[in-house]
Order: sequence, then structure tokens, then C-alpha cells
Amino acid sequence: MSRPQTAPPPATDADRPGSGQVPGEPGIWLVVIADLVVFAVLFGMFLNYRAEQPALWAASQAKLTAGFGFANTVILLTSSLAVVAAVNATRLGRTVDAGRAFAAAMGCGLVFVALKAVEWTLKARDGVVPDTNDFFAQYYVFTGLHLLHVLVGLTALLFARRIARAGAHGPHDQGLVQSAAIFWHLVDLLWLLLFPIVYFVH
Amino acid sequence: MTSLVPRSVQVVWATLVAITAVSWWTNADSGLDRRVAGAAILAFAFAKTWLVAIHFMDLRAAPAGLRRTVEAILACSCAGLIGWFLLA
Amino acid sequence: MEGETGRAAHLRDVDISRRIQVTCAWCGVGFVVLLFGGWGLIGGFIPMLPPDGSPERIAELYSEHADLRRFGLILGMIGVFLTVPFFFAISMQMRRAEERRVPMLAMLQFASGLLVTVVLMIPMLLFLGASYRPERTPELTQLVNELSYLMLILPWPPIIGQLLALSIATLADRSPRPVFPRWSAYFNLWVAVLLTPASMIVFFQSGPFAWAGLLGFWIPAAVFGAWYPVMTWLLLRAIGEESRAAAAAATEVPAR
Repeated sequence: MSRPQTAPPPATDADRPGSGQVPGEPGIWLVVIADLVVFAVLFGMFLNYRAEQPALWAASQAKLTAGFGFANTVILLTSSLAVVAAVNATRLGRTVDAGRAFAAAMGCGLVFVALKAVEWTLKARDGVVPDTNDFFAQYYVFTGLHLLHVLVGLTALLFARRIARAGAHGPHDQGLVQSAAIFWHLVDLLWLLLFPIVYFVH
Repeated sequence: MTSLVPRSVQVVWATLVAITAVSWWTNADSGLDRRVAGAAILAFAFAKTWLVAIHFMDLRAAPAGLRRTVEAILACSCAGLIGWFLLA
Repeated sequence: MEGETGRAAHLRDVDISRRIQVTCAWCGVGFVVLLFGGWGLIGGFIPMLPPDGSPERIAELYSEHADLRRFGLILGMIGVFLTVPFFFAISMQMRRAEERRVPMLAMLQFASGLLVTVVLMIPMLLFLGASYRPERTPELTQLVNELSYLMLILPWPPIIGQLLALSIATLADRSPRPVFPRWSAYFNLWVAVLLTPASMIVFFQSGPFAWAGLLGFWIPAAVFGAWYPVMTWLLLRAIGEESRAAAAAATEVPAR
């Protein structure tokens, strides 16, 4: 089984050739690929329902507060930036920086969860619940499934932070830290699809 | 701390935020045809995921096979969903 | 002479142990075939009886091909039992990864697995109960049908117990020849996440999240169904490795 790299490559913008090591453990890419396929199927299903009830879709989307989605996009992107910093710090053996960067990323993740809770609560207070119509059923389920990914990702970051702060010695530890980071980027990536599709496409 | 983030990744982050902001504001009162707007939203969303995959997930330094597989899945999903959106 | 016989006996034990485990590993595939083939196709429960169907409609569906349904359900019931040897084979291999510690994770996997067996066995019996007398008051048949589908599809927490135990044991296995390959830990975690949407079937009676829907049934069922053959394959590899190592040890070290 191939192992991730041990030699600390420069954190600068070196144009590394495309024949390098697999980032993280190979297994995490199985998760990325499988999740991308599943979400593509789910988005296809969403667009299919939209085609059947375009007016309902447009009217329901108008009730969503896109500001929440936009804020959460920026928050997740920023957390991804922090995770990139954390992985590079781990590679370079800068354990304190790595711990701080992971903490910053997790902080962003918690803000995401909090904003999602506020958004859902406000919608529910306006009487918009999963039972309201087909659109809102999918809105709650899709954002809920993504939120589940966020929670799994936060757990992964928590473990990665512990490993990084302990020094992340050897390819085994480096691989685990990088795999957690890749999963967090996947959470970010899925939101970049989910937000525009659910909030805007009608 | 910023020294730990490659310059290219910083640029990608700013680009992603900019695309998201612009597509949000233009969507609010765009005079575009619904079908054009929908297809454009999907295309921009997938372009953003490609940036994340290449620069955040570090696929640019990965073996070409892995990189092409992920790119192919993103491209197929994008084409499939846009086609589905326009035809359905 | 005495030494030779002892060695031969040891080798025979190694081989018997391997064959028993291999049989148990194949039970995973047997379960999937008998559940989806017996309960699903022969019993006619896939495609699902409509969750929003009227009581009369459900009772009518139960009275059609009633004997075929009962036969398929009995096959499903047999299949569900096969999960017991299968889960035990998984735990016996996990134990090898936990050689130097209390085999908590192997125990957790098997205990959670037994719960999975129970919540699969009971709906088979409930489905049989529903199909026993389809001419009864339709509302009763509908109730039993609903209980059966919910119990069959919904209870993912014990499955998560199995999958988490297995993933943690695999990720913590730092031996140069791990019992299960590391990618399988990620696969298990992914399966765990995708089973949870089955929770939605209690909230919806129609659409993609109900028990006849894409996210309520098909995606969880597909990953659940894929997990068993994948684990059978990984088990066969691990069992082969174990028995080769044991046979080599038996021939190298003199018995007694």
C-alpha cells in the first residue's frame, strides 16, 4: 500500500509535477469519489422535481435567505484555507502553528453549524418545515445531509489536530492528518455545489 | 501563519469568494433567461469545485490518474446536470 | 514419529480453521442473495409496497401470490441468520489486529452485529405474519406492513456500531501486513454516513425520502448490500493470510 510522502516539500508556490504522491491515504479518495457520485445523483433528482414543479421551486427559493448560504460559503472557504495552512505546518513539523490552524478551521466549522441552526430555526418559525412542500423537504434533507458531513468532518479535524500537536511522526500520522484535511475540503466542495443549486437554480 | 498558505491557494480563495459574491448579486436581479441563468449557475458551481479539488485537495501534485479521475467525475456530473436541467 | 504426527495434526487444525472461516465469510454473500432475492424479488417486497397505499390496496397486494411471498420470506429469514457466522468471522479476524490489547472492538462489532441480525429477523417474521391472513381487516395488515418496513430499513445505529469498530480497528492496525487494507476503513466510514438518511423514512409517506424512495431506501440499500460482498472478499484475503502464516509457523517450530 502506497504511503504518503514524508519529506517536507516547500509550502511555497512550487509548481510540483503531476507525478507525485497521492495526497492523504488512498482510501480517502474512495470516499471523495463515491460521495461526489452520490451527490450528483441527488442533485439530478432535485433538478428532476424542479422540472415537474418550476413555479413551486421559484416561489419556494424566494423564501430562502441567500445571505446565510453566502456567509456559510465564505466561512467554509476560509476554514479550508486554515486547513491548508494546518497541513503544511504539520509537514514542516511546526506543531504549534498546526494546532492553531486546525483550531481556526474547527471554529469556522462551528460557526457554520450555528448559522445553519439559526437559518433552520427562522424558517421553521415562519412555518416552513420539511412537510411544507417537495422543495422544502429536499432543502432540509440536502442541507441536513451536508450538515452531517460537517459534523463528521469536525470530528476528523479534532483527531487530526491531536495527531498534529503530538508531532505527526512518520508517514502513518501524516497520512491521517492529510486524509482528514481532504475530507474537510470535500465538505467545502459539496457546499459549493449545494448552495447555488438549492438556492438559485429554478 | 500566512506563509503556510501558498500564494496560489490564497488567490484561489479570493477567486472563489468573488465568484460566489458576484453570482449571488447578479442572480438577485438578472435579466437573463431562466435557462441560461440556471446553466450558468451550474457551470460556475462546478468550476469552483474544480478549483477546490486542484488547489485545496492538492490534486495538482497528485498522480495524473487520480487527478484525471476526479476531474472526469466533476466534468461528467457538470455536463449531466446541465443537460438534465435544460432538457427536463 | 511422535513429533511428525503432532505437526501433521497442527497443520490439519490450521486447515480446518481456515475452511470454517472461509465458509463463514461466504455467508455474507449468501445473506445478500437470500435477503434481496428471497424477501425482495421472490417475496415481492422490492419494488416496495407503496408507503402511501391505502389499507385496502396493501391487503390486496398481500393476497396476490401469497404463497410465493411466504416462500420468499422464509428464504429471507434463512439469509438473515447467515449474518451471525459472517459477523463472527469478521470479529475473529479483527481480533488478530487487537492481539496485544483487550479485543474491545472485535466484541463491539459482534455484539452490534447480533443486534442487526435481530432487527432483520423480526421484520421477516412480521412480514410473514402480515401475509398469513391477508383477508383480515385491511388496517391491521397495513400496520404490520409498516412496522416491518420500518424495522427492516430504519435501525442503522447498530450498523454504525459495527462499522465504527471495524474502521477504528483497521486504522489503528499499524502492522506492516494489516488484517484489513487501510482503504477499507474509509469505505466503512462512508457506508456509515450513507446509511443514516434511512432515518427519513419515518417522516415521509411519499417521494424520495419515503421507504420506496431514492434516499430513503435505494441508496442506503445499495451501500448496505455492497458492504457484504466487499467484506467477504476482504475476509477471504485475511483468512488466507492468517492460515499461511499459521502453517508456516507450524512447519518451522517443532510441535511440543
